[in-house]
Amino acid sequence: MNIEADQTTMVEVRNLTKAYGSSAPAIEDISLSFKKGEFIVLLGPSGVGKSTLLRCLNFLVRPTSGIVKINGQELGALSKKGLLQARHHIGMIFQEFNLVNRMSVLMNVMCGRLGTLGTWRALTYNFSPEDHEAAVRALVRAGLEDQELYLRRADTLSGGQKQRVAIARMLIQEPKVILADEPIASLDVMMRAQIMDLIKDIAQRDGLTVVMSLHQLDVAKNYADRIIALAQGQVTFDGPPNELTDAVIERVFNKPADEIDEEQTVEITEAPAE
Amino acid sequence: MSNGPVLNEAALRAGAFKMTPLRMGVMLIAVGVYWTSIKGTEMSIQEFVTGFPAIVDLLRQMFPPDWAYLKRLGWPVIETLQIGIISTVVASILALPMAFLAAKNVSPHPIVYLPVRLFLTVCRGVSEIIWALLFVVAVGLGPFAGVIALIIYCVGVIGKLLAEAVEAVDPGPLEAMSAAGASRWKVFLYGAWPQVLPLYLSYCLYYWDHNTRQAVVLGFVGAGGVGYALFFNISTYYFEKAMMAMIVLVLMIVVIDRFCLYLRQKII
Repeated sequence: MNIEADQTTMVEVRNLTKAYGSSAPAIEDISLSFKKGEFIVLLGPSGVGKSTLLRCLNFLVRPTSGIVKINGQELGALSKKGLLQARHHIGMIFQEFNLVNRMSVLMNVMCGRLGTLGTWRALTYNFSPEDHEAAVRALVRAGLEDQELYLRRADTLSGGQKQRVAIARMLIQEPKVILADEPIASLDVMMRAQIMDLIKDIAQRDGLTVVMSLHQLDVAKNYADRIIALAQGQVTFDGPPNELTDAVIERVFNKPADEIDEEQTVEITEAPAE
Repeated sequence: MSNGPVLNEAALRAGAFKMTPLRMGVMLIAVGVYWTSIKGTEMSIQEFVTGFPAIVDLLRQMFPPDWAYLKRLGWPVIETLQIGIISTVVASILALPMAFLAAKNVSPHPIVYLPVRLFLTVCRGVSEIIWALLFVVAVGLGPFAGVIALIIYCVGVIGKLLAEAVEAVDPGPLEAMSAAGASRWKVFLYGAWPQVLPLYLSYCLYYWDHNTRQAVVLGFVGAGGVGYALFFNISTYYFEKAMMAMIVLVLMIVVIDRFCLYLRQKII
């Protein structure tokens, strides 16, 4: 633990670089720090390194160089086991929800507890009664009150419901930080607002730091405390949404600001609502 | 193309077959390969025709089948079924860790992955009957040699098919579980295994069917069962009994085939 560090600093990144093979680095020399309870949106079109930066924060992608500290713990210095323990307190949700289709909703949620599940219980697919109760609480909190859904296979759910299950899986980890990789990109417009509200609400109540990658400018402006825009693997803007002027937007997206929202309304990918 | 195909002479001529020197060469080589193949395998229509009465004679000797022999086939049938069952069970258990080590996305390291792949290739590269011949030398005549042969071959095939199934799983859930702090084997057990299980069961069922059929062939090299009864009766000229064994054989295969089909539909 670094005693000198600001008590409220939750995520700290110093000189972070990640290069895949010999090609140009996906992110290069990024230094940032996020406070407890801060809602951060990484903004930019796809392929600018948002996803890589996000995955460096829990070492799903091991950075080529640089330091990542979560809650004062330097991930690069941890043992294999220590890293798994650290990850247990970092929740993550994804664009494609990443549920196991053939497993029940309840099982999928309990998978959030795999990090602390004992060997014998894990081998026999036997979660404890406490895990079951925690899963139900997490599902209710994620907005799935209908108990009839809990034993259904995950692939029978709609897109919005799936993301709620994924959020419940993350909640059951009791995380301090939420990493969200384009969590609304596969949802229709109505559902997007509901899921964003849910994440925002959870983060505010529990005082969680959220780091979310997005390419929807309007959504970012509505929800973020702080927007970080990336282009070519580097930070081109870092500040509150009201400072994100059209000039900055043009620089980030490489096209006029009023054209960006138009694009968003076109790419509705999934139709069924709950 | 709303007016239908329009034929013109130039297009027809362009599409027509032209004998080029290259094509001529390929044809000559093909004819040469066929000719040497016919010579090499001693194919001869003449011998087939002159030998035909002998075939008819053989068939006549096979009829009527020796129905009394049926009750003595009971034990060999059971033995064949036992060979099929035990070799499939053992092979499918052994194939599991092999597949896990031979799948690129979950294998611990290329140093493990490559030799395991090679091992699986050797297992299935040599056919069951050769393995059986080798193990007859090692453990003597009888069903055990057949069982080992089937296990080795089957580990090679199921291991490879399963490794490919593991490689084809949706990586999303695996990533989510890693992100939640699950260790490698838990990620496999909860993220990959549910996706692979239906395929695994279907392979096991198919190879149970296959192993039972192969168990018969292995009987010919002394590995017991109906195959051995068949082989023994042919080589000692008891053709009515051989016919009976063949009838039993076909029935057995049909029943197993149907049963496997039924189970597969139940599972998947």
